[in-house]
Amino acid sequence: MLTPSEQTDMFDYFANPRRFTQLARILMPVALAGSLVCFIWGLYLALIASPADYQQGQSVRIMYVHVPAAWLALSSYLGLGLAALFYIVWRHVLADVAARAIMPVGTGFAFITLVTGSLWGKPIWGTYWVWDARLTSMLVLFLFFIGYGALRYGFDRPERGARMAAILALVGCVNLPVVKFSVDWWNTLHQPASIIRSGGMAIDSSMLWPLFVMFAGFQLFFIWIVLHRMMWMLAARRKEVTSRPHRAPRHSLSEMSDPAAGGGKR
Amino acid sequence: MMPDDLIRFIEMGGYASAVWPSYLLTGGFVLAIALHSLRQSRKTRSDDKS
Repeated sequence: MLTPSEQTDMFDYFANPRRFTQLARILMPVALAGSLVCFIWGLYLALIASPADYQQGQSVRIMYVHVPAAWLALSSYLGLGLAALFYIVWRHVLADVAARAIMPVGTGFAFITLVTGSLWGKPIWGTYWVWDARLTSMLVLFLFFIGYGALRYGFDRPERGARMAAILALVGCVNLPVVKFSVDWWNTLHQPASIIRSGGMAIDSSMLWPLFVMFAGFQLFFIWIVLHRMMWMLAARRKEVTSRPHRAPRHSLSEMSDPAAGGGKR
Repeated sequence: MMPDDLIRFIEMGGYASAVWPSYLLTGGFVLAIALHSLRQSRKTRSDDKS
């Protein structure tokens, strides 16, 4: 178990933008190659190799994009919440950059979850939308992502926008268990959990494998895109900081956020 | 690809037309955000050089 000071040291070590860039340069090609392999393999399994459902027929194939998109939207929001927490506590530039990088990706996957769920709902439930607890809580998650973006870019002073948006992101974390457990807490039209549940998995392995491979593809793509976005955001920010007039070199990005140089403090 | 697989693949556009829009939407988003990020990265790099 790490002591609080060791945890802070570890955070400071990895939060240094220069070390982050070095680590990202190693991780990015691995994540991109892995996601491409998983997408090709997963699409073959999902569209060709896996069987049709005995009740839903071919419509069940929507599951292989709907469920990984939903898991990714939830984990994106968790990442956004953690980045917001780090930003509020340490005011670290890298945490704000991470949150900005995650936001559009998470928003997109939350939107995909809602649309593919509606498309799946029509042939199975007979309707595109119901105000069911799972669907509504997912819509709320999507609106939290939108709200984060609106607050983050809606202020003249970016620092103020970053702080307000981080507070909203933290508040929105309350919705994460609601989305997950909504099918257990209320009677919903949406089916209960089939994978992460107390009685074991309730899905055949012929459908479980495509789901896991597609999920791995989505997660690896998420890692690549977030790191890639963070890299160019850091580069753009570094350029902006160094090109500001009347600024001494000690205010450069790497020193601002390097605790050894006295940065990253309030 | 086996003929049965090919038939099943085509039929998805017939009686489960919701399958194709779902995959196209997801694929479109993944490509769009990847291309946007690559373009921004290139723009930042070219701005640095100039």
